[in-house]
Amino acid sequence: MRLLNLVFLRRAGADLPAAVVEYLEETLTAPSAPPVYRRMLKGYRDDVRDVADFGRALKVSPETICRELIRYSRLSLPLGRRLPEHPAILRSLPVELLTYPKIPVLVFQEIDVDDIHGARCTGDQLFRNQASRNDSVWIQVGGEHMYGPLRGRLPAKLLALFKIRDYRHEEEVYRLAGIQMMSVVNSGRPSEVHGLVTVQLREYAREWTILYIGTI
Amino acid sequence: MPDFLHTIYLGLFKHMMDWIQGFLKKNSHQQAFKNAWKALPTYPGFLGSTKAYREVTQWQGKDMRNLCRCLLGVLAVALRQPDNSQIHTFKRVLTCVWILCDFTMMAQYRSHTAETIKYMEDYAERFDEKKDIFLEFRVSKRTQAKADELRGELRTQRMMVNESVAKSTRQRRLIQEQDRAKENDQCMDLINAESHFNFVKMHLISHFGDHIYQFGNIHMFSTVYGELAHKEQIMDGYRRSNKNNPAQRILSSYG
Repeated sequence: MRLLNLVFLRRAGADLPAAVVEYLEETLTAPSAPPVYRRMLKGYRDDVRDVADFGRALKVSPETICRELIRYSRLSLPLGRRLPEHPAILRSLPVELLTYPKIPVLVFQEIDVDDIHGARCTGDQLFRNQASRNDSVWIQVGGEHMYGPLRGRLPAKLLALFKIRDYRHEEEVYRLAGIQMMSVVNSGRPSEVHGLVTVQLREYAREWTILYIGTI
Repeated sequence: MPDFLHTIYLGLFKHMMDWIQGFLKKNSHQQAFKNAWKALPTYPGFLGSTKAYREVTQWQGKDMRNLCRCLLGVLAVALRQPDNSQIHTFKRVLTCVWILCDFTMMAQYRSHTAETIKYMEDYAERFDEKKDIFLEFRVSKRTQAKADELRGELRTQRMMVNESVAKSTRQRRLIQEQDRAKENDQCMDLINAESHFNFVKMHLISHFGDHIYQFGNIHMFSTVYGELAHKEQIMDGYRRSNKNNPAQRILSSYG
């Protein structure tokens, strides 16, 4: 069985005998900080240069993309660093389109070991001469108390991964993802028949939502 | 030593899938299961299938591991629109599969506490109670032959009785239906009396808890690692050799 160190046992609120605490304190070493993994983006597509190209490559109207970018900018970015809202400037911002995010996922029953999951979003392009892939990913949309056992996460279909560069603010780069959110049925309560939580793709949901890559 | 690969994946789940296929066939939900199965998308660590379950001829441990992950979801989708007469049965089937999936999940833990082992043992007990719903799909060849024989005897008796009594066509049809229902009931009674779940793999899961207390987690003793190593260490080495005294060549490539 796995041995837990004193820091972890105290954090969990364990009622330890004094002799054990004394022994563990003697042997305690400084805990090393867990490594911070960044979501790496790979699979660069060279057919996209700006927002207009981006819409063309994904077969989405540039108006939709601009509208979602402005929405993201207003909701998530600080006032001085927001993206330009003028359509002509916004469409000319340089964009890099990518297809392969590497997402660190904490290994079950571990506190500092991550497993790297590689999702794929190829848009309309084929994946290895097979059907195109737009994998589903988990999005952290709220606190841990939301959606019952889903702990604030909802599944979404990954439509695009991109970096957008705002040349007006010292070459600020935003790493963003275009997704289609799913909604949870029955407030995330598991079914009494099979114990699973049901999610669904609603027809009236927004086709495109843009958010920061770190929420995946 | 309980072997996870052959006891759970290629043991219980393989049996369970046979029972489920029988159940789906009886209730005419095979197509719904097939559609849900083929619609599963690929995900990191999970390879969706392009073939229906029955079209796959050979199941490996890796495939069965994938199946364990999605079986309950696929079955829930396939059985989501029951008739009034089917609701209770479908619920019992889903509960049984749910319990087995939960047991499998708990048995895969790499680190256990007394609480997790208790959960696992509870799941094993509950599965033992609920599995009877699949009893009619665990018919041996001998039992099936007995049931067919009984059905034949009953049919002969029925014909003899019906011939002696002259009645109108409607009355005769009504009697035939009643007799057929009786015949089915008697055959089902025979099948239920003769069929059982007494096989080694079913019994082994009751010892998982004790094994964890004695030796540690179940996963450590799975033969899946040995089989993977066999491919890499022996088979690949053999392929690289000139097939003349290959043992020496295989050993030297790992020396």
